[in-house]
Amino acid sequence: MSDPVGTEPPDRVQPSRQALLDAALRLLADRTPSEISGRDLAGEAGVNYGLVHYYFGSKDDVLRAASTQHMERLVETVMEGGTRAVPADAVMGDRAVWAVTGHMALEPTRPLALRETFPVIEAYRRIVERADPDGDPVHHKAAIAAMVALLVGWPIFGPQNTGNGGLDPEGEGLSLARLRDHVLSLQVSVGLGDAM
Amino acid sequence: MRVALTDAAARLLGQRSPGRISGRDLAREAGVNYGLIHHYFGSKQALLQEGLASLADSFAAGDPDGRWSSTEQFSVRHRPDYLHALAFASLAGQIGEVATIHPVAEASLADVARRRGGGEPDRGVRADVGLGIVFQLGYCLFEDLIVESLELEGDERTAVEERLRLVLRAILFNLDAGRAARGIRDGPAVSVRPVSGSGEPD
Repeated sequence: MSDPVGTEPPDRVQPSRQALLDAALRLLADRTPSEISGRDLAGEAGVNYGLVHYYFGSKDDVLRAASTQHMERLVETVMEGGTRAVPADAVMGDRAVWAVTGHMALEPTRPLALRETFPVIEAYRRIVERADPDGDPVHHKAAIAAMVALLVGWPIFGPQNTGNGGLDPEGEGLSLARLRDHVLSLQVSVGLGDAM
Repeated sequence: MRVALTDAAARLLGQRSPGRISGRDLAREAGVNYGLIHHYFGSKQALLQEGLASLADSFAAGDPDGRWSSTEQFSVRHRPDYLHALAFASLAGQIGEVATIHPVAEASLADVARRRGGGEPDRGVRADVGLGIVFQLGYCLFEDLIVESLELEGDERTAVEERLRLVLRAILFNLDAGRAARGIRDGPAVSVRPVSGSGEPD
C-alpha cells in the first residue's frame, strides 16, 4: 500500500498531490524555496515523504508547480482570467498571497522556483495591447512596470514603510489613497478605463 | 568580535527571514562563541536590529567608489543585500522596531519638502515619500521578473527606466503618474505651493 501506483483510485491519490501543492504555498508565505525541504513539505501536507518524489520527482518540482499554479490563480482571480487590470484594492487582500510572490523573488538560486516570466505581467501585456493597439510600447511597458511595482510592492513594503515604519504614523491610509490614484491614472493612460 | 557579529547578522538578514535566524547561526557565521551574543548585545533580537541598522547605514553612505549615491532614484538596486533584508523583515512584520529606512528616508523627506515649497514635511509629503520608497523597493525586488516578462533590453530598457524615473517623480510630487509614463514631465501640481527660485522639482 506504500506504492500508490494503480493501488488507489485517482480521487484518493490526487488529494495528496494537491495537499503537497497547498502545503508548498503555505510554506512559501513564510520562507524562500531553498529553506523548504521535502520533509517540510510532506510534514505540512500530512502525507508520506515518498509521495513528494512519487508525484513530483523532487521538492524543487513541487515548489515550481506550486508557484506556477499560484501565479495562474492570481491571473484567474485578481485579473478575472486576464480580462482586466489588477484592481488597486487587491493590495489589501490576503497578505500571504503576495508573500508567496515575495519569497519567490527573494530566492537566491532563482531559476529553481521562479518561472522565466510573470503571468500577471503577461496578462497585462495582452489586455493593454488590446485596449491601446496603436500605443507607444515604451509607454505601455513603463505603465505596466509601474503598476506591478506598486501593486506587488505595497503588500510587502507598504504598511511597514508608511504606517508602522515611522514615516507617517497616521499616513498609511493616505499613502494607500495615493497609490490608488496613481494606479488608476497609469491604467487610464494605457486605455484600461477607470470602471474596473 | 562585536563587529564580526554585526556583520554576520547583516549577511544573514539578506538571506532569510529574521525569525529563521538562530543565535547559533549568528555565532557560527561570525566564527565566535555563542555566549558572546548575550555578552555584547543582550539578546539575539538586539543583534539583528544592529545588523539591519548597519546595513541601512552602509547603504546610506553610498558606494565607496562613488559610482552611486543612496539619494539617487532606485539606488537600492545596487544593494540587493539590503533590499532583501528589508523584504524579509517586512514580510515577517519585524521592521517597525528598527529605524532601517531612516537615513535615506529622512533625506528624501527633507528634499521633497523643500522642492514642494519648504517648511516641515506635512502629512501629504510624508505619504508621498513613503509611497515613493515602496515603489522603488517594489520595482527593485521584482526588477528581474519585470525586465524578463516585458522583454526589456537595450535602448528600450533605457527608455522605460527613464519613464519610471518620471513616474517616481510624479509619486513624490503627487503629480499624474499616467502622464509621467507617457513621458510628460509636468510642473508641480496645483496643490503645491509655488516657490521662488529653484522650486521646480527634478
